[in-house]
Amino acid sequence: MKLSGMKYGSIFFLRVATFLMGAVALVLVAIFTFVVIGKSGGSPFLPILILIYLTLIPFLYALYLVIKLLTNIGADRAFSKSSIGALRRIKYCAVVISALYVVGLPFMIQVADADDAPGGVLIALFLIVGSLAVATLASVLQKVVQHGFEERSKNELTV
Amino acid sequence: MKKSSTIFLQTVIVLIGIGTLAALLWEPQLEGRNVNATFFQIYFNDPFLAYVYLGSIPFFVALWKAHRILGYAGQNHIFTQTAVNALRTIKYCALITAGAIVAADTFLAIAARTNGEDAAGAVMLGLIATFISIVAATAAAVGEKLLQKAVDMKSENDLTV
Repeated sequence: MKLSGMKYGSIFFLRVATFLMGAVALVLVAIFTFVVIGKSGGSPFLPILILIYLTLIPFLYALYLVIKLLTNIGADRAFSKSSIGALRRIKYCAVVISALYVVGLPFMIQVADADDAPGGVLIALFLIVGSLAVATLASVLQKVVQHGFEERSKNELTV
Repeated sequence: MKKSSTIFLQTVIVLIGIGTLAALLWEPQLEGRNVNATFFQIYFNDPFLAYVYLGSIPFFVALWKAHRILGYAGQNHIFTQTAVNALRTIKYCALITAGAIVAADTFLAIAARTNGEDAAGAVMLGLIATFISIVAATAAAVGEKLLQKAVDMKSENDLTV
């Protein structure tokens, strides 16, 4: 089945958008680092900074997996083992990110108290719930792709 | 399909809807020019606010449709024409929302310019929101085509003896 032109454009756009998300995340982290170091020499914020750096790794890897998934879809390989594997790994990345933020919660509460920023804890909670939502979505999509893969196998084995 | 996953996601969607609604209704209270106005003046004398409320309708429709699609996924009815149509609706809603935001942004930019104010921040927010809407529309479109293909495959399978 050949790709229609419009679909390829959509996939390309989504790949670029995903890449941009990664770039924006890196820029924001860099800015945050400079702001924090400039403000107080970094000391109370150090654990938070380390936390953010740690979560960057699975985040960027997950974005790379999304691009790989999009490439699969564009190459008509949407319902394939590769896609299922990619979704499974995205799910694990999201769970790891959420676990990291849960572990970092006491540090964030400490900093939020010291800095008198009530929004700090709220942001942390958003991140935790958000990551879990992404993990759940990835797992749902994984099962959908699994079903699609089984349908396709049935289809291709029929004469 | 694990039902608990889809129910969790549906709950998240409901929370997003409630949060957005609350923010939409509460925001006028936070505006500086509304500090001394009466309730009627804040909510009913503002055409821009009415436009915003009207423009938020496609957003809530899209949220509702997404909630429904998750319901289908939970019941294993995901490879159905209904789900495909729901994704198409979400795509159109996202596009309409993007267009509405662009129009509102243009209005804001022009209005602020004539008042001598600088609307850079608000315009920037509008552009980011537009971008997010377009990404959502594209994702919905891609999902729609994929699901359509799967639905066609499935009906082919189901009709084969």
